[in-house]
Amino acid sequence: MAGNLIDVTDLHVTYRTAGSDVLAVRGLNLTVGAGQSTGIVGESGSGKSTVAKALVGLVPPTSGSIRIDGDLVAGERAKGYHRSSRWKVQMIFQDPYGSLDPRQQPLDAVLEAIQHWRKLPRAQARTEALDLLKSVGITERQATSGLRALSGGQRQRISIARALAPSPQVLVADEPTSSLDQSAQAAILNLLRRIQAERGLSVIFISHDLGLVRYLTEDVIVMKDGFVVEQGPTDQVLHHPTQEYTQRLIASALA
Amino acid sequence: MTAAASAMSLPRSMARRFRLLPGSARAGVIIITAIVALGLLVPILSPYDLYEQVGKANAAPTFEHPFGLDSLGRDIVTRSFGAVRIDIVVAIVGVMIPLLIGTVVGGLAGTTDLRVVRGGVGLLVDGINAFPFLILALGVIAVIGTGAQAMIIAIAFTSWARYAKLARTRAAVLRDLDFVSALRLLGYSRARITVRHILPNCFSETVAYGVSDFTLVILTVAALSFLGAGVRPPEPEWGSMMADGRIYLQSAPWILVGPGIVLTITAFGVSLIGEALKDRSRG
Amino acid sequence: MAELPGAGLATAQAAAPGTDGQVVVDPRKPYLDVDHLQIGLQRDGLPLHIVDTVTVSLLPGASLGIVGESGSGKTMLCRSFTGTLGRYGVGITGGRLSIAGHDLTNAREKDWRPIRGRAVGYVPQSSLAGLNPVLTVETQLLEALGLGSRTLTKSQARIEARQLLDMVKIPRADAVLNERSHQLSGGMRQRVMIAAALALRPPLLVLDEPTTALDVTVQYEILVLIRQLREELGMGLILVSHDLAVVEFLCSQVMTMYAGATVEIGASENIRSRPRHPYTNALLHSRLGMAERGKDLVAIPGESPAVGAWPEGCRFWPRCSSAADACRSGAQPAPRLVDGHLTACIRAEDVT
Ligand SMILES: Nc1ncnc2c1ncn2[C@@H]1O[C@H](COP(=O)(O)OP(=O)(O)OP(=O)(O)O)[C@@H](O)[C@H]1O
Ligand SMILES: Nc1ncnc2c1ncn2[C@@H]1O[C@H](COP(=O)(O)OP(=O)(O)O)[C@@H](O)[C@H]1O
Ligand code: SF4
Ligand SMILES: [Mg+2]
Ligand SMILES: [Mg+2]
Repeated sequence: MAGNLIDVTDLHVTYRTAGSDVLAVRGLNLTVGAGQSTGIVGESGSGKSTVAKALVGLVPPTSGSIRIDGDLVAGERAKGYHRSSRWKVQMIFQDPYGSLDPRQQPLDAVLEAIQHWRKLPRAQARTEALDLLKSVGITERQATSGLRALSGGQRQRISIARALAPSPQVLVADEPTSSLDQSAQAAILNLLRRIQAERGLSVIFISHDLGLVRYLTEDVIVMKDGFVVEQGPTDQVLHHPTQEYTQRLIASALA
Repeated sequence: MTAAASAMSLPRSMARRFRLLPGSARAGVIIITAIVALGLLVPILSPYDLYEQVGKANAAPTFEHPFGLDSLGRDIVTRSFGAVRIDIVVAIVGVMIPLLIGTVVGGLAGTTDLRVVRGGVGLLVDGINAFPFLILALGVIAVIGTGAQAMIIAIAFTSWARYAKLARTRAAVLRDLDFVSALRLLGYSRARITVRHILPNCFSETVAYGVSDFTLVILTVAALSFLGAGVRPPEPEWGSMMADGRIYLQSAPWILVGPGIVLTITAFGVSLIGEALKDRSRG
Repeated sequence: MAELPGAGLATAQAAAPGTDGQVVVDPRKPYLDVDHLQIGLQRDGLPLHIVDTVTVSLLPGASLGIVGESGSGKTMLCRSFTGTLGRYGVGITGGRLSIAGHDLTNAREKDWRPIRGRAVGYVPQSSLAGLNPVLTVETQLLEALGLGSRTLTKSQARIEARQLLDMVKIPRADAVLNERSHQLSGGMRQRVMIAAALALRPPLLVLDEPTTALDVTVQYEILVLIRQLREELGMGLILVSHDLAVVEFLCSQVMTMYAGATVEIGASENIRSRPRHPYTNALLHSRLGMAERGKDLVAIPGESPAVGAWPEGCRFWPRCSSAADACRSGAQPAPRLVDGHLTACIRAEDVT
């Protein structure tokens, strides 16, 4: 469909394991326009991360199709991601300690990504990398030292800077603050919101925390056991949930 | 950055790294530098020749010959340090080549999706690792003969498998970390991720062990020479010198003590560096 | 500060077992008493403080929540209550610690034995990984029950293990007894850990971030369980979390820690409605509950300082919006009473 940046129809993902098949996603439809944000909530194991991985091309769907900005990246006769589409979708992962190459300086990580996508003189690429890191709150000194001294929040910022290097249109954030403390979480959420506004990014925000999703997104999908339980505008779903499962999720949220 | 500038920055960054090392590792670096320097200089500066008789056989230590003379009347100080050349070269080559091969093979085996490669390498690596080191080394020497070259090949042949095992384990852990996925999303090729991101991480693991193996290799060279399978006699080498000393343990213990002291100091310096690297790779 | 009447304590006392490790609970005296506690280690021959200083006391049956950013020393403080610091090469370097009337400041391993599990139950952080993967749940519960060290027959212990699982409301308890940790979900594992900590019915339970790794529905169930257990057993509670909402749900008192120090202590409602330390204030405002979509959350600028790099003066000043010149020199301010709770801010009266 024209106009939509992300267009997912009837997505199914099945993991084939030695014992039995896991039906991780069982029918998900999703459209997201440019600059819009959609949340996915559900308890652990409900299939949220699998949706994220399917969207970015890390796991192949068993059926259904995914279109990004008009390119068919998954589905029948799909070409998959190619250089012409690969930059469009990037992802932030949950574990800040596993998201960065342990041996690479933050600056080099961002620099490598910039130079991979644009042929720039090294000095200019370096300046851009430092600017990008600065825009997520990482100083030049932090950028040029080892990772060891950096906190979870700072690592998450670096992951965000690296994901922004190819100037993507869609950012998929899979529980990006679940392993951070409350004040680090606030800082990362502010950052995500700011870059979304500045760059007109579409954001898929995954969390088991309804508060986060309510705060960040316009639309929401509630998942359980791979099924979509409820889907619609965030305010409507959270204020007038029609499904018992959604009501239970809301009741569990403290404060 | 111009080539000249980067060439300038190399010693500077080395100096910075040195300053960042923990105290014990710095002591290790100083010890090894001193041993290597003495090893290169002593045979040149020493008034005595490495191979010529300079006095009475088995003479006790004196002011002129602090470590005494060996069974052929050669100066033990000169020969103990002369041995540095061959022992350190053997150790460097005997560690570096298998380290390089082992890490790359193990790293690739741990990363690949090809079952056949993973299984095949695993079988080979575990097979070699299951064999006692010295027996395998002696086996190789039996096939290609004795001498320094044969010894290096023997060591390399047996020890690459241990690095491969370490690297394979590390790579298997790394490939499941999210950063590998993140790099794939950035459009980096598989080859690039493996070569620029996974293998360097494997190296920081194996190099730490490699440094401590350095000691082991020096001792192995010594042991093989001791068993008569290593360096041929006139060449100064700690193991064969000590083997020679064993015969005169009662009457001239200094023959064994001299090379033993230099060997022990070298091993100590190397292990200091190794420990620091191990701590760091865990960090 | 007393909140729960001593009624439930009788059970806790009666159940506290053994002849050597008699846990005596005096309802008028603090059960846990921490006075200017310092925890640290030697690095390169110099002392390095991780906690410096914490002062807090807790009456029998009372509850205390500890909040603070990552690295503020919450876990190290909890470990000091169970004598498990030594395993990290760390120790108490100053101040005083007493539990159930025993001075444990300089206690050795053998002094801790009658305290651990009997006087204080402990569920460590990331305890989801805390169960031994090769042993069955039953084996681990029997171990917690002290089989072997206590005069308890195996069949009695089995029955007690089963009762423990009922106590933490594990469904299909009989089957779970014979399972291993990988067969259990995160919430179930946490319940088993709590059951093990309760095995010897300690009058005080210390929980270090019990729900951080769990999703909201499971978190809620666990918190409700802890609340019920307290009511049933009348036991005291120390709960660590970086989420103020979790702490308020269970604890009547809250302590805020920053860079190893107590910066504020008071009743939960009081702290929430009138925080008197800028750090607590900022933490409260960084909560999502107060945020509107489209508006920025209040994030505390900068990062908390690393151990060994605490600034002069008030340790919070580089990030404090109320900091004045007087805050930037001297020692960390000592807590003093303002508006009914203790705060370690020299400008507490001006905090808004
Ligand atoms: N053995 C040790 N040596 C040196 N520093 C240590 C040691 N153990 C802990 N620390 C440091 O002490 C500080 C407090 O650690 P602690 O685990 O108590 O923090 P915390 O408040 O529980 O944080 P979190 O919310 O992440 O669990 C941290 O900065 C930690 O790095
Ligand atoms: N690589 C995998 N192989 C097999 N099963 C998997 C794999 N990844 C996830 N699963 C299973 O798929 C289901 C959904 O998982 P996931 O998408 O990670 O859920 P969530 O992110 O909502 O916690 C779970 O039952 C999980 O165990
Ligand atoms: S003492 Fe000063 S710097 Fe510290 S919290 Fe109070 S106002 Fe802020
Ligand atoms: Mg997930
Ligand atoms: Mg902790």
